[in-house]
Amino acid sequence: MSEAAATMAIMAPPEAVQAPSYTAEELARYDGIVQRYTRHVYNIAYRMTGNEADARDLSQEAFLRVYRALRRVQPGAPLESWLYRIVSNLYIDLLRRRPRVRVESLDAPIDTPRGEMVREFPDAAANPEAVFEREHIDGAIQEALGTLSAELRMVVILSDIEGFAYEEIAAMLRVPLGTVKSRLHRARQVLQQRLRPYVDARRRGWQA
Amino acid sequence: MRLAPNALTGALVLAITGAALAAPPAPPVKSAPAQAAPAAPAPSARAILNMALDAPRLIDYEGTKIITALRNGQMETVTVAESHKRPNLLRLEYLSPEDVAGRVIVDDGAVAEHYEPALNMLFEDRSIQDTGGPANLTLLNRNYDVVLLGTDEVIGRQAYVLSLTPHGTGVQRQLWVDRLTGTVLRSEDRDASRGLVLATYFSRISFSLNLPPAYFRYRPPAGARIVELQREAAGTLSLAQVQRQVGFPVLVPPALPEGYTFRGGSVSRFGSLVSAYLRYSDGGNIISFFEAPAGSIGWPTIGIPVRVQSQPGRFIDLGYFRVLIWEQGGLRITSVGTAPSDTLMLVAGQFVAGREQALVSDVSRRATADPAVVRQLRSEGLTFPEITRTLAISHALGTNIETTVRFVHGTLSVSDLAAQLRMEPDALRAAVRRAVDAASMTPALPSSPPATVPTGSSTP
Amino acid sequence: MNHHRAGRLLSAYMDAELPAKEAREVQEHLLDCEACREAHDRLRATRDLLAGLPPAEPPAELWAAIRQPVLRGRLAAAVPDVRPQGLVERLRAASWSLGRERWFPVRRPGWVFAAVVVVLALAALPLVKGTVDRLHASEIGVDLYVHDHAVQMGAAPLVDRAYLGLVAGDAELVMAGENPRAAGGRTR
Repeated sequence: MSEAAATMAIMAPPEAVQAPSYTAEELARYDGIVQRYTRHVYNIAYRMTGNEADARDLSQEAFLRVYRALRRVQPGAPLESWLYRIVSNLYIDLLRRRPRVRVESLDAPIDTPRGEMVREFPDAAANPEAVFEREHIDGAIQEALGTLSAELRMVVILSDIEGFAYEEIAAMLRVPLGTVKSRLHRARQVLQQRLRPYVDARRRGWQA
Repeated sequence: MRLAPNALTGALVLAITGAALAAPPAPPVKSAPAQAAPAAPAPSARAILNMALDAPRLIDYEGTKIITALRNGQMETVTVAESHKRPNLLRLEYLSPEDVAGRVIVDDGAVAEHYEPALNMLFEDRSIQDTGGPANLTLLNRNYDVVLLGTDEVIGRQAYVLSLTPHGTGVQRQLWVDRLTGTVLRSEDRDASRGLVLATYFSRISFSLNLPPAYFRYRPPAGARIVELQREAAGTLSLAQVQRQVGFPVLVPPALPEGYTFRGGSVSRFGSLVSAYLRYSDGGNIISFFEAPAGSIGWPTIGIPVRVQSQPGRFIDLGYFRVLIWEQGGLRITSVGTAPSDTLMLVAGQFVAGREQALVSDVSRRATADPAVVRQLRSEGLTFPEITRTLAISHALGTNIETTVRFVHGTLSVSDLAAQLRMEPDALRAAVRRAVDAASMTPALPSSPPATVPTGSSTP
Repeated sequence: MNHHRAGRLLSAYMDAELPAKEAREVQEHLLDCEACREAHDRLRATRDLLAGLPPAEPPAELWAAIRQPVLRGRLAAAVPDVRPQGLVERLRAASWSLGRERWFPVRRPGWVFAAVVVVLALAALPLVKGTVDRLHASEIGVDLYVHDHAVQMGAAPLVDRAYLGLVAGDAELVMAGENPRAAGGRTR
């Protein structure tokens, strides 16, 4: 059994995707879309949901939609707006479906988002405190993101984590430019408050 | 699940569901009828935790437990008949699947005997019931948020649902604690990257007061092969003692996720294989390091090859536990724990970077401490971030190093130290936190020390 | 431009998303207003913190699941092999560049110790009480350590003992030279 097939056998999604018999070329196009967007979709989904399992589900569902609608997609067309809007909507559906037990706190960071990848650890020169501080910061940021509403969170993820311009975000989320501006500003202000010590440390770093 | 309103403390709990893995069989759960409100307000989460910890001393039980655990990339379900007699007699008889059926383990708190019927073999080993002493509880409370989520019904019994969420990297545990007896009726362990990794629950349980002690003794049939594994208590030696016994240089992890501290070592002997064992615990989870001379063990064939810095290594994902193996300086080092693979890699990378001397200088300079003190603390098993914290706390509170180390290790709790210093525990916590934040938030040290730092003084 | 308005526009100003005229006005205000300069600085630091987050790596299973329609098709051969070439290539830290797959599905290891089986078949090792010869020790190093670790986990309060017994017991089998349990079936 090939490695890929073995992996699939373990993690095959419950409902089989009935292939609307695509040609080799169409499948190649789909694969191209997967190659190009999966990391971004997953990253957004992860930062939105705060945990791997949900991010994985969301990403899978998003690409399922892409797969089903493949013939309606213009070859080579930029899919960010469409894809990321799907992720955003899927996330809102998720929230509606699943009432969570959630109590506010300042003290419980979420575990870090590193996936299962085993890789060469790049930074030998990092001092030991910084090494785990990075994980710490990551967790703290993710937790702070979690305290934002879904709308605020989406805007700040698209802007500050994915690097989109305001216009692009407005188009993606189908909201007026002014809304993007005010949401982003508000989101950053909340984050800045919640991440006070890290923000201060960063500023001290500039002055050092 | 009904939430007891006054029991919600200020702790964040995410109900992470392992959606990608097949859902384990869950016990039948009925929601409690609306009019059956508890007569008294629910106890605090800490009180319930203590109840669960005390329960084994106070009650006997026998029941059938269903375990579902991640193994080989799938969830495996195992059924076991579990009996306990106070204070620490345990009997486990595995019922299914077929290849584990008939395995019996009896444990009297000192020794465990494990009989495998298909092979007619009896293994004698150390007990798995060592509770590690009160220090573990101190560390647990320090490094985990213990939250009462509410009450729930499990197999017809009322249970408190307790959640233990680690501040740092570790396993998130949810426990259903029987209201009447404090026994854990159901549990779920979750890991950050994979969701649910272990679920257990009793499908039936009876609490009797008098299980016969004979039930907890096991006499193997005639002709059984007996294999004696080590019997000495592990994890009780100091690093220096371990070092003396093994005769090869034992490396101390330079850094670990926050909360993990050295809780003791031992020497593991198996045939001609002698390994140094270092145990780091955060109160609820353990990361172990085994060190042996390179060449005394072969490389396992399972797992995947990895590179730790430029050194070859191997990573093995066994489900609940993960293993990372690498070699450096003539040593084979094996780390085992329930932690993200990245964490294990980061930890290993710090070992291999081999910057011990440079880091000693670095830390002593930043904390304006004598390098000899830093080296001494290293030889006691402290990681560099721990040393930085220890020096910062010692400096801020005026405590001597030894006391501070005991505090950092969890041997001395906040209330103990607060009493010693004649401070309020909360004030002590705040002072410690300030000292630690100030120490760890310093940006990376520039190549020459800033002019304002005084030189040469050592800490009190 | 009054102070309040400038304050609300600081984010957009920082991102260079204001029209020229407004940007100039905010800039002039900043020259005079220390509070706004502070606020701007803090916003910048916050943004940098977020920008500094490494991308969350998608787990292996996700790739497989998403590419499933492609992999299932017999036309997989027509699709460019996305698995990277060598071990070093494979394990280099993922870059953020699009279209370059650095990931490969992790082989979920089983507890099948192929080498151990071979060793046992070739050289029926006698098991004397308490001692194991050196060759054998070299093959079961991992199980020994997993076993010890599982036993040590008993020290963490409230870890399930029955589960630890299962893991420790499984490891002991291998340490004694027996075949490990395969998932879901009798191996012996």
